[in-house]
Amino acid sequence: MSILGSFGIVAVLLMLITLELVRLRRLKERYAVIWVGFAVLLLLGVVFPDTVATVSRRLGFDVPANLVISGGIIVLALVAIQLSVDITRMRDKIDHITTRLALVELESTERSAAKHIDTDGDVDP
Amino acid sequence: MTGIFSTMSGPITNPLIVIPALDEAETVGEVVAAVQVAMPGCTVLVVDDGSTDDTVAAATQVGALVASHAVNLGVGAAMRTGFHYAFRNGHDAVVQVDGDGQHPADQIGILLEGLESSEIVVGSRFGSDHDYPIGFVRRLAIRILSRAVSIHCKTRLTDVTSGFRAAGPRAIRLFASHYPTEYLGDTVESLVLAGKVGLSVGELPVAMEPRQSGRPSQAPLAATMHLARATFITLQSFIRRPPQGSQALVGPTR
Repeated sequence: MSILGSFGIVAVLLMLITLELVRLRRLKERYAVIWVGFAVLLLLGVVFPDTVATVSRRLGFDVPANLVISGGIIVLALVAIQLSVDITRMRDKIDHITTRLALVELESTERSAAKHIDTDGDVDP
Repeated sequence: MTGIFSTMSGPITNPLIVIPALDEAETVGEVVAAVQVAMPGCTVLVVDDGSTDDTVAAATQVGALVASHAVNLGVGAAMRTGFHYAFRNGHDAVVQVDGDGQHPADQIGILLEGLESSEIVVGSRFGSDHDYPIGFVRRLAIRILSRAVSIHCKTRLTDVTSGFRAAGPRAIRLFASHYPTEYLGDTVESLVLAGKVGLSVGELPVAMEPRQSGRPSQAPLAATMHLARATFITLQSFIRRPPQGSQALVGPTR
């Protein structure tokens, strides 16, 4: 099978997988956009191979596939960085939520303990 | 506990002892008891960082308040919970004492006295008559870190990775929402942050016990990893800007 055909299949598969994940609510729109965009870009390359060939020659690549592969690696690296940033932000949120939860629990035990003393010691009606 | 110690903003009347603990059921009870003896009438808060053993029960049994993290997040997050509690309940000083028993409870008073001249006081394992046993690589890491943090804080520090420390009112306000929670963040980066927003940092020598429980991580490979990460963190701390809004929490530099 030609390289072009393989790329086309990959692009269509990527699109289908992404849409299925969205349908199953496993993927937020924010991330779906990234992967659909990636698939569309790949499909464009398959549909207009001459354009890709021209651009890659302009950029000094001997083989057009090299442009596609290099481009893919760069995009994936950027996506990975974006994901790391997201994970960092989520970790910060977990920290804050856990702190709040721990203190709310502590306050509620303190309050119920205080209520106990009240009823036992007849301090409050 | 009234007016024995004083900060730059007045006498300390209501210190909170925070004990971060992870799976330390065997030692945490003794630590709490020792603190209660050394600091009678003082509130003791054990922050359980998602322990899977009986740490919570052991701490509750000896009469400590216990705040329990639902998931394990690290010492930094545990301390942030402690500072948050202190801030909400109007404590004017926080002393961190580790749950593994290596910090001497009878020297908490010395750290609190230190708050008279600095807003954060670190208990240093070095500089006293006791020579603390420690591997070469680890010692080198501490030296590099200390040198770097000293520059930030415009003071001379020798043991910035020590977790035995006291913090005054302005530091509590800052740390309640901005205590660094990353690796070494609880010790090193918290001091760098303090220095950047203009809190004064001091150090006092204390005699510390070698760890009773937990792993001292003296293995050569682990120590080297530690050195590498420590170096990276040092470099990172120089370029990192303080979190948004942290300066406002502390107010104008004195």
